[in-house]
Amino acid sequence: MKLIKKGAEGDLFLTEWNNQKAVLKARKEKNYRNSQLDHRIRKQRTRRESEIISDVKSFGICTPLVYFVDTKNCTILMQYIAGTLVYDLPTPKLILICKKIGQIVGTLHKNDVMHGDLTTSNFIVSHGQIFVIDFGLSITTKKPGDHAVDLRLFKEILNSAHAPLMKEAWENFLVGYKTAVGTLRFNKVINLVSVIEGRGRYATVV
Amino acid sequence: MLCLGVESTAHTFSCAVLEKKGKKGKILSDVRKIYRPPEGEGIHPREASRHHVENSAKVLSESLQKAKVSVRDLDIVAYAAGPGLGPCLRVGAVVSRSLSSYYQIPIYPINHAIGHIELGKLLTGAKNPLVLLVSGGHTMLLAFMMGKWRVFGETLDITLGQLLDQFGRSIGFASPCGKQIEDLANKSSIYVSLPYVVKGNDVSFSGLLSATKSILSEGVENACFSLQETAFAMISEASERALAFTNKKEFLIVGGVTANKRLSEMLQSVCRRQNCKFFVSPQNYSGDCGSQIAWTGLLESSVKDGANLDETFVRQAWRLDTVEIDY
Amino acid sequence: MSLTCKVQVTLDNISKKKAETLRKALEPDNVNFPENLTLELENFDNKVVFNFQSQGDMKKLIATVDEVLEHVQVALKVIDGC
Repeated sequence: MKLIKKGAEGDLFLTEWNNQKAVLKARKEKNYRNSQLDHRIRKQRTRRESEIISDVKSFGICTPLVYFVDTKNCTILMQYIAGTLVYDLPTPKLILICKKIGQIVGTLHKNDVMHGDLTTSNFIVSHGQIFVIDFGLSITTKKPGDHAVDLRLFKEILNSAHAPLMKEAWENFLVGYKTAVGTLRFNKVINLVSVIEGRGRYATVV
Repeated sequence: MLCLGVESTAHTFSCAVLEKKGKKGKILSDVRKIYRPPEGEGIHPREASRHHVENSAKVLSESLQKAKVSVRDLDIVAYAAGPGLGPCLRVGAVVSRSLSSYYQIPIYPINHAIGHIELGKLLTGAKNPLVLLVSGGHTMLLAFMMGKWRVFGETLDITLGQLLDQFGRSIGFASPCGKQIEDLANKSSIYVSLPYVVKGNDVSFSGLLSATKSILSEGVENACFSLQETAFAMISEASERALAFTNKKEFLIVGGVTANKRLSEMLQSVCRRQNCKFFVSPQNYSGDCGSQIAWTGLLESSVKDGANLDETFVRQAWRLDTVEIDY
Repeated sequence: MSLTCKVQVTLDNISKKKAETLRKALEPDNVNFPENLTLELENFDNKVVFNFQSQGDMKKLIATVDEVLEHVQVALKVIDGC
C-alpha cells in the first residue's frame, strides 16, 4: 500500500479491491488528543462518513463507492476516483465549476445533509462529473443555521486560498445554490451567513 | 531607526522602544502595566482605561529610560489603533498623538493583531508560516497571500481566550485566568466527555463553555483538564486541516494563550505529523506588548510616511484581513 | 421634553504649543458620538476651550467630560514627563 496523502482527517493509501484501484482511508490515532476523546471522534466519524457517503447517492450526488468499513480500526475502503481536485483547477474553470458546486451543496442541504468540510480540495472533477469526498464532519440536519456554516466555510476558503477569483466564484456558487434550494430558503440561509460572519471576527474581549 | 510602540487594546498598557537596522530588529525596552479586574469579573472597558490613564506617563518614561533614549531620539511613534476596547484604545492614541504633535514625530496607527504576527516572525525567524493567533480577542488561522493576511479558519463564536476566561470567572478567578486553569488541569488526568465541534477549519466553543460549567460537579480539576483537552484538540485539529490544505511548511503560534504548555505540546505534535517546522513566540512576548506595535510600525515606515494626525483614529473592530501590507 | 445642557471647560495659561498639541491629540476621537451630544474644541494663544453640549442624556455627558478630562491629564503628563 502506498501512502498518497497524510491528511488531517486520516491517512490515504492507494490499494486494490477486486482488481480495481481503491483508497483506504485510515483514521489513525492522534497522539496529541486525549485517547478517550480521540477514540470517540475517530469511531463516530468513520461511521458517519461511511453512512452519509452512500446515502447521498440516492439524491444524485456522485461519491466514491464504499467497499468495506471497519469501525474498530476506523478505516474505510472505497473507490479510487481519478481526476483533478477543484483546488488545482485553472482559474477560469474553477470559477465556472463553482456554479455546479453550489448546486451540489444545495441538493445536499435540501436533503438535510450538511457536509461540514466544504473546501475546494474535497471536490474531484472526474470524466466530466464532480465527485464529493470527505464526509467525516457531515451531519444530518434540517437547520438553516447549520447549512449557513457550510456556505460560510466555502466562502472563507474562496476568500483565502482563491482570493483573486473570490468574487466571481462566490457569485456563481450562490447562483447554483439558489437553483437547488429555491429563493425562500436561499434568502434565509444567506442572512444567517452574515450573522455568523458578524460573530467571530468582531469578537472583542468582554 | 528608533520606534516607540504604544499598546492599549485591552488589559495591558505597554510602551516599548525598538531599533531597526536593515531587516534586523532589537527590543531596547518593553514596559507593561496590566489591569486586573476584581475576582470573578470580566474586564470593564472604562475601568481598564482609567488604569491605563493612571499608568501611562510612568510606563512611557520607564520605557525610554530603560532603552536609554530620550523622546527626541525617536524617529517614529506607533500605536495600536485596533481592534480592541474603545476607551482603552483612546488612551494609547492620546499618548501617541501628544508625542507626535509636540515633538514632531511621524505617527503610525497599527493593527494590533498584525503586530502579534510580525513580532512572532521577528523573534522566531519564521519566514512564511501558517499562523495561529490565539488570544482574548482572536482565534484565527492565517496565511499571507497576495498582500494580505488571509483567514483560513477561525472561531464561529467566542475565542479561545474568552472560553478560558469565562469559565475561569465562573469558578471565581479574575481574568485573564488561563494560568490558573492550566495549573488545575495539571492536577488531573480524568477525562469527562465534552462536546467537540470542528467545522472544517473552523471551531465553535460556546457549547463547550456551558457543558464544562455543567460538569463542575465531577471536580474542578477534572473539569479544567477536560476543558483544555477538548478545546486544544479542536484547535489542533483545525490547525492540522489548515496545514494540510495550505501545504505550508512552517507553523507559528502567537497571542496570549500560547503561554499554555499543553496547547503548545499538542500543536508541536500536529507539526510532526504534517512534517512542518514549529515556531512559538517566546513567552514574555506572546501576550499583548508595546514591542509588537513598535516593530510593525518600523516595518510600515520602511514603505510609507506617517499618518496625518487628524486621521489617527481608533478602530474598535478593525479586521486584520483588511490591512494591505506592502513591506 | 428634553433639556439642553452645556458644559464649558477652559484650560488657561498653557503655552501655545501645548494648547495646539492638546487639540490635535484629542480631536480625532470626537467621532461616532452618540446622537444629541457634541464637543467642540477651540484653541487660542494660551488656552484651550472645550464646549460640550447635550440634549437629554446627562449620564453620557458626564461620562464624556470625565473621559476628555482624563485625556487632557494624560496628554499634559506625557509632554511634561519627557
